[in-house]
Amino acid sequence: MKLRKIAWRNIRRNTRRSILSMSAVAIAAMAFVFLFSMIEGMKQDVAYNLQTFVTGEVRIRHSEFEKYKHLNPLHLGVDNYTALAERLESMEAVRTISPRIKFPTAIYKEGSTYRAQGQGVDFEREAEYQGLEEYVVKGRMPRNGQNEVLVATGLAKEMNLDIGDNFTLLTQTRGRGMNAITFKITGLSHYQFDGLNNSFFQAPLDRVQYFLRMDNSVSEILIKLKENYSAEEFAAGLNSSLTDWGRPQLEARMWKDISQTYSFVVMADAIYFIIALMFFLLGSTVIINTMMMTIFERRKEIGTINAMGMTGPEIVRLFFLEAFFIAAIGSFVGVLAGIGITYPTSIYGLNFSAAMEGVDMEVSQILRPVLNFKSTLFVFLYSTFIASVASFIPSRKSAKIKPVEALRAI
Amino acid sequence: MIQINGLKKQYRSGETVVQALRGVDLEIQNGEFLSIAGPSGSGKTTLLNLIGCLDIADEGSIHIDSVDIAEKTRKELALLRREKIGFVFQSFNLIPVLTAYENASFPLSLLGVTEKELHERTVKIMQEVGLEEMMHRKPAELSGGQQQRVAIARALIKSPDIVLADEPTANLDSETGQDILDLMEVLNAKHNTTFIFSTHDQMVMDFAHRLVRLHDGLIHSDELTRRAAGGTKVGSRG
Repeated sequence: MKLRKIAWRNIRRNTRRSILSMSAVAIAAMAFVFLFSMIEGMKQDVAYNLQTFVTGEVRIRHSEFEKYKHLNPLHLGVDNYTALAERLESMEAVRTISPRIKFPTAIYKEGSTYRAQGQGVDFEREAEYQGLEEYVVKGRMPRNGQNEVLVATGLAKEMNLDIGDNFTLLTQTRGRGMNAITFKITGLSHYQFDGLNNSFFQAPLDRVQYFLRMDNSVSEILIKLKENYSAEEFAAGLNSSLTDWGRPQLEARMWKDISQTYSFVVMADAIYFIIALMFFLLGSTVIINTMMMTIFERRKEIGTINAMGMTGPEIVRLFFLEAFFIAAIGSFVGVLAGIGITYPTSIYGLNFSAAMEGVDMEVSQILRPVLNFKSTLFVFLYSTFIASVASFIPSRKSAKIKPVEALRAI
Repeated sequence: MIQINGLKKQYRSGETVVQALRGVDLEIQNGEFLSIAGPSGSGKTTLLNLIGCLDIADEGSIHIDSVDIAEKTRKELALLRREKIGFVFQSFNLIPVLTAYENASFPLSLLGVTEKELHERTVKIMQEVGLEEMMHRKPAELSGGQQQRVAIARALIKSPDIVLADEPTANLDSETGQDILDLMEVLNAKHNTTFIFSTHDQMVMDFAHRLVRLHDGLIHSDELTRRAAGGTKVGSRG
């Protein structure tokens, strides 16, 4: 008679109690399949937002730019960017690039001044790089070479602007002089995170270069890579190439090194592992309790099988197997339930707009959990392991019962 | 052979100390059909537990086939029981989740015999105890007598040297009890297994070939019965 068979039948002796024990593990497993999917969704979301709108996968800037960022150091730019862009685009790993000029500005309208963040972009490139047309909710994309602008809905609403309106903005040029330019609004855009929606507009790169007296310079070039290329390795290789190309003042950095938001999400991921451990231990207490009751109730049986020659470790294995089956079934059911909850929410998403209001992080308002085979399998194995290990303690007790005392039990 | 010398065992219950055995000397030959009789509290079960390596004596020794069991570890005692000793309990003690067949074959599976051998020996022993038609029933689906037959099959399946039965008929009606004793006697003769059973029932005592009477933890008498000599009760050994 195999121990597995006896253990399996034993868990069906008190079905209700076994189901209760399984439920505790199942609820914890279900919650963590969902939570890890949420974290995975958040990681992918933040990565996409950063790579698309903020940092690229790899970003080229002047090495001194970061130090003087607060002073809007347009003079620390990427000069003769078109030559560099050509070199970059000819590289095997590069999928697409986005030369940009970011500049803070003040917009004057009917006696009021509004602070805004402008960005000069090549709209032809951005159609591919940002997939920008997807975010245009009204009107059309501006055309390169024209004083046209794409304004985020939050800024448009605040300034009471609409398609066809003009606005004049004032800012410092590269040479620290002041300059003003009037743009016509051709489109309104809405992005998935509030940081962009509230004060952001995009204008043609050539017009911004002219207005800011940037000549053929940009403040940065963002790079997206083809699949299977490592941003870290590419950035390291590109730094060597920049020196070889006579541009040692430029610096390439990978996106994870630039933004703290992703690090926060990764940290949250690690914290969830610890919280999961606590939850699984909590769920395990029900199994521990069940095993303690089971061992107490089955003392006579323990005495009998011991009398027949079953050794202490074999008896421990029998009870451990029972706990393991309860834990494994509970985890499996929990994982299935977790998938059941996660799947529809991954399609429709969860709206966190109210919670995310005013949060200056590159996290979208609508988050979609992403089911991940690795993390789901991990939850199953982790919860089974924790619950089994926890139940090993009461199982060990079964071996310590003296057979003569066990046989006396009623 | 079982050699018992100066066996003492006491139990403590709070402040009270109970002298269960106060110096028992006994020699049991292979193949005996022996009953340990005595009133409640005389030490019958304690003596069986000590012979069955389920408990440890305070003083004295038990040698089974010249091996002093006091020198064995807990694991070694379990392995000794696994190979040499079968148990029949008053309340049968069958594993409720196993069928009669599985209960009976359980000791063999501990010995690691092949599936084929396990099946053949289990079917054979179930036939011997007259339960071949009920092999796949769970204990709850069997009568008390049938459950005790399964317990006997379980005790005998591994062909042990010794079978210890603690009041094997106490929970059975007299007719079923008689059947069980008949069966035990037949199997004793057939397998030459030593049967030691405790009882305080006169009918059971009459069935034994040798009767050891215990009183207050000491052997009061030790005699061969009529059945041992083909119906004639032989003289006292105690």
